[in-house]
Amino acid sequence: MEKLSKEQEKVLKTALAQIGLEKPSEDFLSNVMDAIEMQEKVTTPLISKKGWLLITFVFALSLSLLVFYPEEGSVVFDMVFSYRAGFVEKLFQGLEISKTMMMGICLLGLFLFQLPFLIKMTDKERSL
Amino acid sequence: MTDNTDQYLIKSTLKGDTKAFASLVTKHQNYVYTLVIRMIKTKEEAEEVTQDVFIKAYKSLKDFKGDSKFTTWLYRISYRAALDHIRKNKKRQKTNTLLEEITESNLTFIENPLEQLEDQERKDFIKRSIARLSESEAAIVTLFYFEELSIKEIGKVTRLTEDNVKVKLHRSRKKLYEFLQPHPVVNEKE
Repeated sequence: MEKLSKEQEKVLKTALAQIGLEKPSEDFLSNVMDAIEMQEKVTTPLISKKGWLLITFVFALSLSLLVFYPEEGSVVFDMVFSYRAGFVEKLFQGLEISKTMMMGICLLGLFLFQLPFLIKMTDKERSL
Repeated sequence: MTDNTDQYLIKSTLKGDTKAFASLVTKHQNYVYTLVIRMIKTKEEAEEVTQDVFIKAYKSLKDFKGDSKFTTWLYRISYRAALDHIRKNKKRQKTNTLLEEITESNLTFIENPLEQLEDQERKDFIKRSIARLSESEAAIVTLFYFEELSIKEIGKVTRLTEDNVKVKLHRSRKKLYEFLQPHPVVNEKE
């Protein structure tokens, strides 16, 4: 295949220079940024890296305590239990909770427990 | 470092400034869109793929090491995305979809309608000629003439050797010149 002459190359360049660059629609930028924002929301984890580290640390600590201090009546546990038992007793001394109030607390707990799942579900539906 | 260099905008984006990424999109959208539409050949699909390119670029920005220019990295994502899209939608697109309509708003500003129509016809003919090239040929021609990339940079984008790019570019130029030749309007403008 022969090479293009300088003249032919010039014709080609002139022709291509006439059409220039193509432009996407006016709302292109906002569409891209909206899509990115939406993905950011969906991919933000409910428990952050720090949260997972803390959970792992607490779990590892509890496990190691169980392994290294397995017997009942260990000094460390005795101290913790005696303090907690006294603390809880003092805190709720004389406090009476009605059945309705208890039911309300239970329902609130159930709602709070469901909340992260509901948020996750609605975000997923929005992204579709 | 000026506020609008790619490097500055990338750093700001990685720090969580999404406005900086918006600036990057504004700066490069026409170049990426031109490359994608030359390969895919239909407006709607090209816009969709271009959007995906920028979303992918945003997600992988942390992996951009700066070994090559940001534009080379971005064009590589664009080239791959366009090729993947073509493979997924194997049915070839009709080239006549590239014809651009002169909208009502444009007509109000036309001083000389006949000249404007001739100019539009010339542009459409050139676009149709590019659309007759294969997707890789169209990409190489676009990268060379419109994005003004060097042979080495085109090689990085397309993952072809420099010699291969030279051969392909030569063939594409020759083909394109032949496609453009029969039409008098292209030569009139010289």
